[in-house]
Amino acid sequence: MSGMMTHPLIPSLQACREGKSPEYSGDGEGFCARPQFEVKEIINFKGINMSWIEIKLNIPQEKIEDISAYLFALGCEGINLTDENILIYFSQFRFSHEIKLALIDYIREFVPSFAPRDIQVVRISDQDWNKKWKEYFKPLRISQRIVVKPPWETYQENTDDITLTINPQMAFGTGHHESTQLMIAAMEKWVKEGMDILDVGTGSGILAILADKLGAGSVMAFDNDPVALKNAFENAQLNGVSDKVRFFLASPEMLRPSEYDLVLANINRNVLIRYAELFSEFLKTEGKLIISGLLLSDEPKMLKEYQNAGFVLIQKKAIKNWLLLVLELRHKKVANENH
Amino acid sequence: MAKKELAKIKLQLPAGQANPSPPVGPALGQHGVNIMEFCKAYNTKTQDKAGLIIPVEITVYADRSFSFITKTPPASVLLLKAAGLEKGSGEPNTVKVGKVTRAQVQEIAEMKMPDLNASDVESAMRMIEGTARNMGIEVES
Repeated sequence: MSGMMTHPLIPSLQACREGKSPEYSGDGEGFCARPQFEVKEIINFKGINMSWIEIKLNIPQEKIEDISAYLFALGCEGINLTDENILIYFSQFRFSHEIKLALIDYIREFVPSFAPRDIQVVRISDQDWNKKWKEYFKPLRISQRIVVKPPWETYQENTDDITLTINPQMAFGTGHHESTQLMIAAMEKWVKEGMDILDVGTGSGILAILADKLGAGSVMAFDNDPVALKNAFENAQLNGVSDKVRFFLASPEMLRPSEYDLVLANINRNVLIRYAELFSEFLKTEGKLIISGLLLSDEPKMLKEYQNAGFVLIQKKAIKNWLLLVLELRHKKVANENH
Repeated sequence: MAKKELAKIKLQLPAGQANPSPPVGPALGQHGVNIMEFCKAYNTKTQDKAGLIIPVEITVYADRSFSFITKTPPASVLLLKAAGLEKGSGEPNTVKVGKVTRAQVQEIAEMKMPDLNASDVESAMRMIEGTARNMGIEVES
């Protein structure tokens, strides 16, 4: 891939290794000007106070078959069919009084008796919907020596244990999902002391934090979701690694070609296919890529894409229907020499 | 022994795009389900259906674990796709916005048979045709 875009706000691997501060404003090898998107900078950013519009419709449930397409065309985010009524949701930015009127008119085509009293509009503010699940989050042993626990639980550690403290919020990665468990097991096998490691789509930060605890030389992690990233940074603090693991708000296109020893990506098939070639630019020759978030049925297509990008399969593992692949970069393309 | 069921939740979501905001967050959160895990599972299961609305029925168990099954897209969504339209008519009784063939109606009816309350394909087709008419989509004979 020639002429790949690099982003001025993301530091190079060399800068990460040297632990250069965000204030550093040199050019070339190192930070480019003003890396203000490092998570330390956005951590105090409260963001927009997001709220949602919940619309209760009092219509027979089977009518949803008829009106669903119209609701989604208007910008509805999703529908909940409860025993009592139908709840539809809009983001505050997509909803207006005109939409409400259009909706009433449209529903009348299907339910002639539909009247304004059959529709109720309520504003609800964004919140930590996962709160109740947290009560059920107990220390969880994932492998012989790796345990994940929430900050409010204690347990009797064995001497060899590596404990990951994860505050579960609106980011993926609490250790309960098969794909996370596969990633953790693969990291125990493949992470070696001193490696430079990149975590793509870090979510809760669980893998980046583990990479550091397994002895990585440097860890850089990024995500395109600021909510996840804030959670990741807080989790790094809980584990005492926030000064070592570097978190960035970014998407893969924003990164420079690099020379990582190991890249981690627990995402999904479509995203992993899109970035196969780009990932080859992040690794050194013989560098490893560990990917999951895949189903067993995704394997042939993944292997084809990654072989085309210069990788060979060196390990695969599955839990239930979930698949993990470890790939090694054999042929690094040299299309970016001008960078 | 079967696990004790705590709740059943029925949602309609765009394939591959479940996220922790409403409706998923409040619907699952109130029953203590790990929302992010559901999103990952739903998005992976529907990754081949991009652009469609895929209904899902989630069963929550007493230990807060969950299972789910996906259903066929709503008739109106399949009709729009068959007619190559972005959305139906705002005034379907007077403004016709597109056409589908009988063969397309039959295809949709057959696909939706498992989820429709219809005794045979013929009656399923009549239901689909009714939806089409109401949406301002004509059925060519």
